Amino acid sequence: MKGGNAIRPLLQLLFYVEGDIDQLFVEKIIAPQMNIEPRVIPLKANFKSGKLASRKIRSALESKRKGYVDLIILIDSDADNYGKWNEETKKQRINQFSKEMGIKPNQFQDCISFAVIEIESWYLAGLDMNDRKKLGFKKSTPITDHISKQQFQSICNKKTDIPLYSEIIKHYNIQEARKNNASFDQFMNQIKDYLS
Amino acid sequence: MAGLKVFKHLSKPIPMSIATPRPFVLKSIRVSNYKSIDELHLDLEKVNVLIGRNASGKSNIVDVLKFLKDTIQEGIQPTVMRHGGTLGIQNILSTKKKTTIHLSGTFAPGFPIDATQSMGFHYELNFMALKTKKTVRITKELLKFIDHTTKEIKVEFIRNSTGKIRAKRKKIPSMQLPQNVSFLQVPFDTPLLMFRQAIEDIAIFNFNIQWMKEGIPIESTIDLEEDGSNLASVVSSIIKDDKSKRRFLHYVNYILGFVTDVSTQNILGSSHILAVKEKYSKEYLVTAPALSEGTLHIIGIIVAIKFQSASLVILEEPERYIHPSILKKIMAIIYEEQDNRQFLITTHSPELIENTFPDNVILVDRDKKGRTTIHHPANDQTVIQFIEDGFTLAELMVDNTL
Repeated sequence: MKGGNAIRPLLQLLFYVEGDIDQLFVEKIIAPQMNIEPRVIPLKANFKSGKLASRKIRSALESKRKGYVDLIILIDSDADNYGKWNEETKKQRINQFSKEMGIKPNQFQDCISFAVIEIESWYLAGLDMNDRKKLGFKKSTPITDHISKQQFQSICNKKTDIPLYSEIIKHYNIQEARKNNASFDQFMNQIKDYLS
Repeated sequence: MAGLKVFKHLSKPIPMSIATPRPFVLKSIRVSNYKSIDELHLDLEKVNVLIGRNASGKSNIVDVLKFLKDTIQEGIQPTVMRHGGTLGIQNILSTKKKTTIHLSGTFAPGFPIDATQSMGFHYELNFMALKTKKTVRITKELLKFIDHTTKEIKVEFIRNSTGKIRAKRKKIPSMQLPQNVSFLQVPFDTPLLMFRQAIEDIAIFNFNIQWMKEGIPIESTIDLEEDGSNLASVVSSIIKDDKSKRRFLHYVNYILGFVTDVSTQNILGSSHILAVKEKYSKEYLVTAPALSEGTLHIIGIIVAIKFQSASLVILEEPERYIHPSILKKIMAIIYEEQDNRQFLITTHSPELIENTFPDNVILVDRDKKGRTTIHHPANDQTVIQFIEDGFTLAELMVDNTL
């Protein structure tokens, strides 16, 4: 290779997420846990158009198709409530994403995962009841599958800002999270299979 | 190559380049066990732009060259102390005991050995901390010159751990140096002296605008200080000669269209400051303290790029204080100058990268263990795919792909 001591290829795994909080989750929790070094790229960057995101995903998929890079897309299920998340609503969400990105579902189906309902439920799932209390969360059920962003905000008792998410990360327990959130558990299994 | 359409403007060089010969071309830097670097091998082109996140190690790569320059001038012991001390200078996670700096490149014909052809060189410095951790000793130092055509070693100087120097293929009596003295500090033979001068001539710039605004004692010099603090003196030397003044003003006006003249003004008889005339007023001069930071920085950069004798110019984050549209012009004059001298630039600026040929961009990163690594993004298949699809390296840098 020209000019360098590159001890690994530059880009091995591209990890597309929706926003900054998702990026933080993947970089601080998923990557160390799975012992991976992905480039985590938020699709909803400030003031950027959806067109740019779709072009980016298409390039990444083409690169994956050629075998240059692995690719994972993690998006929120955005279902109205957890009870409604099933194979049918999943298909609808895939179709919606497919339409937004201008790509056919069969091009990305094997590499897409969903945080149900939103990534905030995964954050909360990793805290045991003691830690939730310690961090000032209102009483909530251990299971977080039904937690949306709004519900997370309403039980957290304080501003949902970077210090709060960082504090959660500091106390995060993966096993607890897998126990408390089915979509997170499924995602962990999926990513393990995908990367093996 | 795909993605090069954005560089069309670079194919039209602006006129009046200074054609000074390049006696010294640095082809590669190899370093082990230096700060965040465990092992690094960087091949250099004419223009090299280092990008990477904060604390990835870009400045440590530059610091290697600064370390060698300081070692030549001050000796290795004070240099180690100045660059972080015996503990700070070594990679804390490395299992290596020795630190090695290796440079290789070429000298132009006649410089320093053969009048007819260019000559390759290899220089290597090895040093390690003593058990007390307070002092260092040089364990090996080597400089050899190689004939490019025949690959024959023309002359070789080797210094061992006891400080004994011997020369191969040249009749020079062996010499003894103290353990922490580099043979470049006491260059007893012409090739050593020439190599020392080449290293000393590497110009590293990391401007301090506040110091550039202050008055400085009048002196005649063309060598710009690393922090730019003597800019007034250097500009004063440049504008003494009508021809070089015209050339200088041409570049200043190319980038700063509103500047019609640059001069220096005496203050208190013994000091001077930079002064600029703007097109808005024919009489009024704006002196350095009242000049915009960007104007001063740009004048400093023009001097660094076009009016220094260095064969290798290093610019640390030249984008500071500068409007994005102007960075395009800065890169245009760097590319215009690339046949006269080499450039190594560190940057966080997407605009600067937007105006750099992808092949010249080097990504500095850190691996899981925190060790500095380098990559050429333009060689990565996935990056090539993105570029073919119309993305630029700058866009990929901004969105975290790089």
